[in-house]
Amino acid sequence: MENSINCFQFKSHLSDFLSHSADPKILETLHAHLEQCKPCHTHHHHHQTILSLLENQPTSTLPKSLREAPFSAVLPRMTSMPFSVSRWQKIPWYLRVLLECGLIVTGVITLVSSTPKLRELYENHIEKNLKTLEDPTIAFEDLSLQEKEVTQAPENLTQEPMDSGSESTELNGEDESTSSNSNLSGSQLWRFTLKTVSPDELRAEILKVLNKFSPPIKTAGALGVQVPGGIEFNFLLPTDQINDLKKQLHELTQNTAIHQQSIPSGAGSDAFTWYRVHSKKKLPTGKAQVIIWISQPHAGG
Amino acid sequence: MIKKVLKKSWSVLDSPLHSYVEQYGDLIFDLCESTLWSPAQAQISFRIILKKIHTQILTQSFSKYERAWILRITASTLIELHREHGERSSAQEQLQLDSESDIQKRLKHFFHYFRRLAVENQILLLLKNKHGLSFSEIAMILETPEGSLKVKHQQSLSILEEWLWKTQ
Repeated sequence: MENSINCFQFKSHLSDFLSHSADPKILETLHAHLEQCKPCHTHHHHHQTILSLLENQPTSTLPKSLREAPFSAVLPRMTSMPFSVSRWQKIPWYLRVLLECGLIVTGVITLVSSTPKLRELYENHIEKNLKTLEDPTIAFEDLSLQEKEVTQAPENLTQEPMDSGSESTELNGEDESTSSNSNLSGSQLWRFTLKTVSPDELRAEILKVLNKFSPPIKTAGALGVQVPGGIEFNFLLPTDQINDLKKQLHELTQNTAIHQQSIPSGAGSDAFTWYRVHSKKKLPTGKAQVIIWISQPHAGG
Repeated sequence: MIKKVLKKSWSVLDSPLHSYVEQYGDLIFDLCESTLWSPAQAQISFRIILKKIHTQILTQSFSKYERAWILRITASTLIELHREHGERSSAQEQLQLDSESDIQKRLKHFFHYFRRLAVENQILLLLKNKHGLSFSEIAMILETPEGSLKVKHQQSLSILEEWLWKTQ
């Protein structure tokens, strides 16, 4: 060994030097290098500090209980991460995979099978809410309606009472009850369409008309619901009063000042239209569903 | 009563294991606590190690290298447990430590830096410098050539030096 060594050679012997196990022959050269080289001296000092910290760390002793009975002593409870292998982990992996897959499949099947039932429950809930909106005393079974296009309003309305045999000829609106849907049940849907430039004013007039009926119609739908495109009244009325209503609505659109001022010239014939269809809805006997629709005439007239 | 019976059975049936506990119990427990950083975890891991020794005692022979054999089981178990359950310092904790500019304060928290080392290197430093084992014995324990161990030892010290004095 030469008398002087470089930093690389010093570092290669540093481990032995620190653990006092270096060869006595090279120990002198290592000391000589330390005195000459400042960076190596600093490194050596740092390493010695680290080793002294490690050496001075207090040594833990085995607890007495564990020493006396290593397998039966009560160990502290580890809630977060127990080292002891859980029962689940002891199960062979193929069984665990099978069980996990089975649970996942069961979960998916349960979810899929319960979805329609949940949907049905949800729809029933919505239907109930609708019923209370229309008439709390009446239970509707089917909300689907068969509607036909609105036809032009009649010029003259007769004052004769409603008669199932003659109404389609008496009223000049389109009447489906005696034609294609004659085989359907007796539920009727009457739809009256009124056009005005000021639907809100006409709504007030219609409310006055509806209040005249006895008993007065007090369901939520009979107050008129503001919907996109207009105002809709939806209520049940005894069939023998429908003609009265029709007449009054017609008069309202023809004779009132509101109509005369609001409907543009040339659009008078569209101001009041009506039609009647049979409905699948089951209604109480002697009653018909009435929808009054107030909307504004189109800009083109 | 049950405790007495258990104690009796332990002392009669497991006499070699009992002598191991008496001889190396403190060393094993200290290694467990120093690497896992929790007395509670150390107790559980100590029992796991003892069970492993108990099962391997019948199948393996160690002749005169009894301590190396026991510590080999201890080290391999601790490495495994540390990898699965070992607590590591959080990023926030590390940032807090690194933001400290005073070297003396850093040295006060030396063991927080020590925890950042790989568990094999932690065991190496503990065995070599805390418990004073020779490199040749540690080579048997960690099943690594002696030369590699010396390099690892040197590297670990350099890493710790860099972490502790890197602001300078």
